[in-house]
Amino acid sequence: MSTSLGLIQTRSFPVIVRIADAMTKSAGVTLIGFEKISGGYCTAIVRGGIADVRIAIEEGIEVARQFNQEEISSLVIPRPLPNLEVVLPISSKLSQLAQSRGYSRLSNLAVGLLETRGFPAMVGAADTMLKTADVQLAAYETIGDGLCTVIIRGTVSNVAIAIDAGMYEAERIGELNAVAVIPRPLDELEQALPVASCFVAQPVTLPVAIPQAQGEEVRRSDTTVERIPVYLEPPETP
Amino acid sequence: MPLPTSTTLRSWPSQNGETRYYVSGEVQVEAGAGIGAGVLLRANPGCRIEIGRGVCIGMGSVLHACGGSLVVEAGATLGMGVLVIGQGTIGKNACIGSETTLLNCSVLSQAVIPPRSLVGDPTYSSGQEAEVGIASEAEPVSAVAPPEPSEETLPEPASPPDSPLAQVEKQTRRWQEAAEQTQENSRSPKTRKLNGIPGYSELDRLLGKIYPYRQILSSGGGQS
Repeated sequence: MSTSLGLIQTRSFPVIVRIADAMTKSAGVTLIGFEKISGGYCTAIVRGGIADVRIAIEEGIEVARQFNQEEISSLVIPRPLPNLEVVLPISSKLSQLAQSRGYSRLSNLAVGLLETRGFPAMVGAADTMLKTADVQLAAYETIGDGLCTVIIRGTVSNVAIAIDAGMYEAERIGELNAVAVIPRPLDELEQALPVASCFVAQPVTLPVAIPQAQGEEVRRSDTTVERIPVYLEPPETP
Repeated sequence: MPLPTSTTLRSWPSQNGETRYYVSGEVQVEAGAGIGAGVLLRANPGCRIEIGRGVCIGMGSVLHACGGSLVVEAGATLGMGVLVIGQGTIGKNACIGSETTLLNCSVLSQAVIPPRSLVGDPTYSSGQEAEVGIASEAEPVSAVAPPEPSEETLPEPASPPDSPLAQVEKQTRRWQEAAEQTQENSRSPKTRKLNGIPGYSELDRLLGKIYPYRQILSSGGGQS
C-alpha cells in the first residue's frame, strides 16, 4: 500500500500548524507530523491518495499566502518508494509513535499559538495569557532562528482573548512573530502538537498488595470444621 | 452642551429658530456659533466634534468626525456645502471656501482655502482612516499654509497680544498639541506593527465574531 506524500514548508510554527489544520480539513489526508529543522524552517507532512494530497497542498499554499509567508516550498510525490519511507520520517510510524504516548488531558479544546523571537517575550506573553483568561499552557516549541512558540489550550473565546492580550505583551517585551488560533483541531493535529508531560495521563502502575482471602477446609479429628484464612501475595509488579 | 452618544440623528433649531441642523454623536456647539440650514454634524463612536464660538458654517455642509476629534476653532468660517471628513483642527479665523472637501487634515489659523478645492490626503480610504489620519496629522498640509506663516503664532487679532485671554488660549493650544502628539506616539507604531503580524487579521476577525462590540468599546475606552 503506497500512498502519495505531500510536504509544505514555511518559516513559522503557528503558521505551519494553521496550514496543517487547513490541509486536514480540506481533503482526506493524514497528517504525519511536523519536521522542524533549525533556522525556523518547519515542514508539515501529509499522506493520502494523490488527489487528496494535491488538494491539501493547494489549500496549504493558499493559507500560507494569507499569512504573508514569502518563503513557501512545497512538494507532492505521487508514489514514494519504500526505501524512502524507511529512511526518512515520512511514514505513518511517526504518528503511531505519537499515539502511543498516552491520553492528553487537554483534548477537544481550541488551540492558540503565539510565536516570538526571543525567550523572554514568550514567557511574558504566556504569563499574561494565563492571567487574562481561563486557558492552560500546554507546551512550548522552539524551531531555531530565535523563534519560540507557546501553545495554549482552552475554549475558543478564552483562547482568542488570551492571544489578543499576549500579543501586546510580547510586542512590549520583544518581537512578536506570528499568532494563530485553531478553534476545533482534528485529532491527528492534536496528536502532532507537543504537550508537556504534566498534561499526559499515563496508566498508573503502583505496587499494591491486595489481600486475597482463600478458605481452606481442614478436617480435624473432632469433626469440627474450621476456616483458616491464608493470605497470598500477588506476584511482584515490575 | 455635550450630548450622549447616539446613532440616530436629531435636529436642533439654529439661532433664529427657523433653520435646522442635524447632529449625531458627541457634538459640542458653543454659544454664538452660526450654523446654516441642513448642516449635518456627525461624530462616530469614540470621536467628538467641537464647534467654537463665533464659528460660521454654511448651508448644506457635512462634518463627519472619524478616527479622532474634529475641532473647529473660534471664528472659523466654512462656506456653503463644505465637506470635512476625519479628524483634525480647523484653526482660528480660518476661511474655507464653499464646496471644499477636507480629508483628514488640519487647517492652520488665519488660513484661506479657495472654493472648490480638495485638501488632505488623496490616498484616503475608509478602511484605514485612523492610520492615514495620524500620518497626515503629523505634518499639516503645506498648501493651506497662510500667506504669512508668522501669523500662526500671533494671538487672535481681536485681542491684544498680551491679554490674559490670549495667553490662556495659547497655552490651551499648546496642551492640545502635546496631548495629540503623545497619543500618536503611543498608538500609531503599535497598531501598524501588529497589523503586519501573520495571523493577526484572522484573530481580529475571530474576535470580531465572538465579541461584536469589541472595537467600539475599546476605541471608546481609549478616547475617554
